[in-house]
Amino acid sequence: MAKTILVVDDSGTMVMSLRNSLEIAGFNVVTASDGVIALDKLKSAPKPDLIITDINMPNMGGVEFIGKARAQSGFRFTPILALTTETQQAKRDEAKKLGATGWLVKPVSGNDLLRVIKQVLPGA
Amino acid sequence: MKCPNMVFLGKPRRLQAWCRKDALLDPRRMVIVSAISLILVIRLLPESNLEGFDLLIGRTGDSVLLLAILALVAALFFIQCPPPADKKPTTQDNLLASAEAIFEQHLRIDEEIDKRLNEVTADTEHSALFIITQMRQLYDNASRVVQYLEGTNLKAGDLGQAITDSVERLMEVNTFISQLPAKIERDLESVQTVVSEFKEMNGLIESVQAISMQSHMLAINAAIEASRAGVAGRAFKVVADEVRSLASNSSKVATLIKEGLTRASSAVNGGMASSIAESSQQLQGISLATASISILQENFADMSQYYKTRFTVVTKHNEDLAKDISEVLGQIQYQDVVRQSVERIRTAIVQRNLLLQSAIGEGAPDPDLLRELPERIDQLKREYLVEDARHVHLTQAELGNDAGLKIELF
Repeated sequence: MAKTILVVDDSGTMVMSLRNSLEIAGFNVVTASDGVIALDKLKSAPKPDLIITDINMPNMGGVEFIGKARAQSGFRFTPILALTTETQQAKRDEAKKLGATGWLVKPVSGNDLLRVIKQVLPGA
Repeated sequence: MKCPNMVFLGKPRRLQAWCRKDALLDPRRMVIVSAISLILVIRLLPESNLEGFDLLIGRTGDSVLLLAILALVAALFFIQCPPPADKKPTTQDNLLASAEAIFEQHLRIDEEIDKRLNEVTADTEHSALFIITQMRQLYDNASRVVQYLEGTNLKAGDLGQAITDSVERLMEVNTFISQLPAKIERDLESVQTVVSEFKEMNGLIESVQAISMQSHMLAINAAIEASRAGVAGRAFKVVADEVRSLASNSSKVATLIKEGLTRASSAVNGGMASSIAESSQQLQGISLATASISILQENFADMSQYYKTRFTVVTKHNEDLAKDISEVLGQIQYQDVVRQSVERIRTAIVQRNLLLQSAIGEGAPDPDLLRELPERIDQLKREYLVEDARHVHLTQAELGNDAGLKIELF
């Protein structure tokens, strides 16, 4: 059965780019345009096996979302990758502290992304 | 310079101008202040102190009060409708007006630039989404071709198996057929042996016929002798008739057997042999046809292998295409990087304009704000650069700088 990935980004281009890359690679993709909507998606089926989130978003940013997602039951060990234009080390450290699994700086090629996903998501 | 009556309509800028320090020496203001002061003095002092000031009305102090009120009204009228000659614009006013006009133009240019930047961002996003859609269609079409080939490959596999089974059966038939002429040849030899035996039987038949003839002759002689014997030979005559009948029947049977043997021999020597030879040729033809089918099977196997190779190649191409499309979709993320960069520029421009507006915008220029303006704009620039430096730039991404930091797993 295909693994489900939740993509959180306020950019339509990013969402479409990631959705198509991941679907071509055989994943089931769910999307959200900010952290608030993403938290709602966590409560509904299908449960994501992996989360890819932007950092700078309206309503609720990625760092806050990572912290709140980690606090949800069932998502303590779910891999969460931050995909952002942010290069600031302090932000990375903050995300890492809140439970991010990895930090990817945009743009990331589809093949690099798939390689990382296979690393953090066994069986993908 | 507009009419100062705007003071009373709540125009803050004019009110500010009215309250400035250098306006304290204005004669109009001096008249008003004096009139108000006089009214207050008359109202506060006891009437005894105002005796003698009843020049017009006759009541203590009221004449003075009336004059003060008239002076106040005259001053107000004077203020509301000042002669234009007294309001020549100063150099500062001209500079301020110029600054305001420049600022207004500047704002309009910025608005236009902001609109264009917004349009460009929207256009690039639209184009990026279009490219993504096209890429996905390309992949879907390629996948359909692979699926079609996969289906064809499976069908060809089934067909190949059916052909192989048929050819195997044909080969079995071919083996049987190829052995058939030898078998027929052996059968023919057996038949010919029988025919030679028939020939030997011909001699026996001739012997039988000869015996029949002799028996017949014997029976005739016996009949003659029986006739001579008269009554005594009557019984013997019956025997002689029976012997003659037997001889006649034996001769007929022998003749029939001989004719049958002759026909059988002719059939074996003539029609059957030539038929067997003809059948052998036909069997050889069938054997050749089977060989052709075998060749066809080999050709089909070659063709099937060719298409399998093609299918493998096309599948590999499809996988490569998927990787390339994935790469392109990754590169399209540049649009988001550019969008965010443009957004930061737009935000910085808006903040700068707010600073300018607060300093020389709607109200009168604030000297303190004007003095601080260069430093505040410089501060804004520093903040913009710090914020921008926190984000990736295309040149960094293209050159692959900070590759280790580009992807980091914690």
